[in-house]
Amino acid sequence: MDKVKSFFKRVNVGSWVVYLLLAWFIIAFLIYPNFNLILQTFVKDGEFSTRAVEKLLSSPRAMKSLRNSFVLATSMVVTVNIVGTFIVLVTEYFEVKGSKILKVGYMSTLVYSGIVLVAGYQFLYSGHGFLAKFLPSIIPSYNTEWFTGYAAVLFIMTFACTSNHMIFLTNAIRSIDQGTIEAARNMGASQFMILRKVVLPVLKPTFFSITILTFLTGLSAVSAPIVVGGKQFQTINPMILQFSGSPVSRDVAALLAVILGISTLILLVIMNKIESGGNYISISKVKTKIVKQKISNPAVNVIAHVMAYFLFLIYVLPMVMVVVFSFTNSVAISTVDLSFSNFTLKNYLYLFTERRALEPYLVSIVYSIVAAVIVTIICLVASRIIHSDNKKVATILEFSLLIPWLLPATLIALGLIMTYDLPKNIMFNKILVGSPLLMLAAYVIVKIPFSLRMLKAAFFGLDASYEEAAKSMGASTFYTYRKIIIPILLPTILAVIVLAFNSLLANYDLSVFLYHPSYKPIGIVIKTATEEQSLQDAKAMMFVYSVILMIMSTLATYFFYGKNTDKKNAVP
Amino acid sequence: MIKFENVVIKYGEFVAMNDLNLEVKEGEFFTLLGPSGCGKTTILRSLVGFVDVFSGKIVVDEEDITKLPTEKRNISIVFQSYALFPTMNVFENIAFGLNVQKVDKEEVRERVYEIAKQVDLNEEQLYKNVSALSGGQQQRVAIARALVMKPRILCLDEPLSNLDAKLRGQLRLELKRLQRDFGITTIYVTHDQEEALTLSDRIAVFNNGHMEQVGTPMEIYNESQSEFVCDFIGDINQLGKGAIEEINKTSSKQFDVNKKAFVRLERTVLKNKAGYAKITGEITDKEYNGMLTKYYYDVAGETLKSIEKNDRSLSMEVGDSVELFINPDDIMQF
Repeated sequence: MDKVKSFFKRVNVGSWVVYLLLAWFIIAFLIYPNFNLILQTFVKDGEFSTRAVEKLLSSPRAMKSLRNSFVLATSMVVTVNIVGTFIVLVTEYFEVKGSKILKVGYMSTLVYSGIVLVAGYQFLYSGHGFLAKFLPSIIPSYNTEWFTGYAAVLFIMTFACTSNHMIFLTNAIRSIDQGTIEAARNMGASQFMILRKVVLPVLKPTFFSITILTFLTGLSAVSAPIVVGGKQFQTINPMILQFSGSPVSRDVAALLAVILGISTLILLVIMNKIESGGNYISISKVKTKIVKQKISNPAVNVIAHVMAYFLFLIYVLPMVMVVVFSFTNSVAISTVDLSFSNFTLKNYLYLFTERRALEPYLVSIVYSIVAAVIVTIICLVASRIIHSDNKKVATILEFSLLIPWLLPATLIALGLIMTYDLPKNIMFNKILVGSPLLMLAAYVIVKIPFSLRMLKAAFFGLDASYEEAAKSMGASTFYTYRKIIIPILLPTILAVIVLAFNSLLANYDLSVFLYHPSYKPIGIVIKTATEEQSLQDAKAMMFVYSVILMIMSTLATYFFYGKNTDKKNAVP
Repeated sequence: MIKFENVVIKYGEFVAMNDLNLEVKEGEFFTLLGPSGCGKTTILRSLVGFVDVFSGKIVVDEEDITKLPTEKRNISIVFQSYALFPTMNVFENIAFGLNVQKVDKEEVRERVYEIAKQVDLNEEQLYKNVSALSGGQQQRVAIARALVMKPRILCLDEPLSNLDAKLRGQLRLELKRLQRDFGITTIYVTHDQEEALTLSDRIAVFNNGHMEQVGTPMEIYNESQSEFVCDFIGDINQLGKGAIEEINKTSSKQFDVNKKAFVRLERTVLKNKAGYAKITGEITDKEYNGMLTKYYYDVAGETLKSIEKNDRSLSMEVGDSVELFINPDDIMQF
């Protein structure tokens, strides 16, 4: 009781306004729509109903999509782990010539992902793509139609989802103590045995986490099944998208989203358990940096090199094609004739001179930047409250804001659609469906967990004495925040804005549910250009859009990592 | 000047300071001394206003400041980490508090330059980023930032603990000089007894959330009032039953063999004087330390220590039997 009293005593009117706004945001956007989605699925005419379940069970398409999603997720666990582990081993553990170049290629998925990546792969491998036009003249038996359905989706998803391996597994390998490898070698262990008995067991917790993340990604795949899945391989999300379009099947869409949400929740709980079990931390007093191992068997060495460069080509070719064809005219795109006369700068000129061409960019930039700034402000305020106020309030606030982390984007989108399609008091009777604000709200919601975690970490890393020092010199809370806290946190704040902006720029998964027809974002435009019947000019523009997005992503990634290693502001 | 009246501080159910009654005089250099977790920093932070007092009063210059917000107390603090704002240069750091008070720009400049001179910071250093300064210079900035506010009390929370031993010794002297020059009441928190003894006018020793003793450095050292203070301040011989029985044989004063008794190492001597008690021990070990040698003796099955100056005339080896003399007045018993 004393705690509650002292809490109420400390907060002033300004703080109360902030608390109320935050509470409204959490209830209106994070809790109520999801709660309402469940309600609409299971409650009909004020009574509990299983009608949606019955409809789902009697729909062969829906059931097949459910099965397909689990098949895809399970297959991905195998393929992504094999490819991901191999590329990390050849860049970090084994001595492979040109590993730095290989690494750049393997890491390309950090800047070349989502709908842009899917579009690139589709252009290269599909029946009307580059290889289908180019390869049959060299290999007549080449099946030009292989790139559709399960195989195509799995192929794209495998190479698109190794980013987690490149980040987390790389770090785990780097944290291995060279001493343990040398000790094993000293005791007569072979290279294979060291890998199996010393290195891989240390990586086990990381593997578990990556496996679960991969499974989740497979389960909630959107763009790859939509673009290359075809009729024979539709997964949950494309099905939700289709069902949500009609009022008759909306409840089935909602049920599918709930199933996806529950699966995500279960897997995240398992992952959390594994993580809390702890990683294997080196107990070495003086840890030695890992040294790359020479592959002693010459035959294995050659095979490893060939495989490494073959995978490099798979990663890099779609990107190279996108860049090259962004400088060609529609003739080159339709005939894959790369003669000099087909090269042009017209596509780029068109982008920067024609309002129509630039519009999707402007829409995406405006949406992304506004969402990134709003999410940063919300998370800054929330982090501050979590950092300094009553523990119970902090815990409730933090858990509420982490809700979007537990839910797939589809469920969030559907929750918003099914809640704000009618006037609701909590939204001051404004209908959000059909308004440009709906997608903005969703963009903000999905970026909250990541931004909050980063800003919270920055707040907790901040020496509490700064604030106390300022206060002891007479500064008010607001003055201290403005003059001391914000400037110190500025590099992190900017990094959060840039990362949120970058990841929203080419968003497709949410946009496809929520975009306003007058404000088509770039992700939707790129997807439309991947369709067979789309004009060659539209395809050319898709390449240009992709190149610019890649450049922006590269800059954002560089900015983030550059700022993170900047130690100039640290007081020793 | 400062009065803590029946002050109790709690963190949830945990009592960090229990019923503190303490008075600090105007212009005093007063040290709160004790091991980690004893409550000394809690007391300092309650004085500055960072920690709420559960019950009791803190009075400064007859004004009850217990509920006064920190920014209205005019009490400056130098943090253990210095807490210099990394996004500001030295000048901006020192001027921060003056800018908060909206002091005229010209006056800010004058006051910053004046205080910088007093703490030995030159003009070039004033425009450097604080991260470009050495540990000692950063500490001067932190002190300047606190003093420029002309506070009525200066609080220092272990300000020397981040520095190497040599610099610590140097800055200790400077701190004392600055305190004398400004004549400011200073509350100093440390766990380093040497620092406390050399700097302070008076010391309060804390243990487990309560004050054990308050007094001048000499009182604390020579007339320790508890077993904890005896043990915490300096090196000391703890006399057990066997040693006390030995002492009682030749001492004018009789000590209770069932209670613990303590005597400082330098008061356990090799030269006899009138009224001194005699005990005999065998040297079991010795530690040469340049100017001094510490000897370890076995006295009635207990270990006693003494400190001797290395003046070449003394040659005692392990295994020698030695007579030791103690003034009974130097024995503290609780």
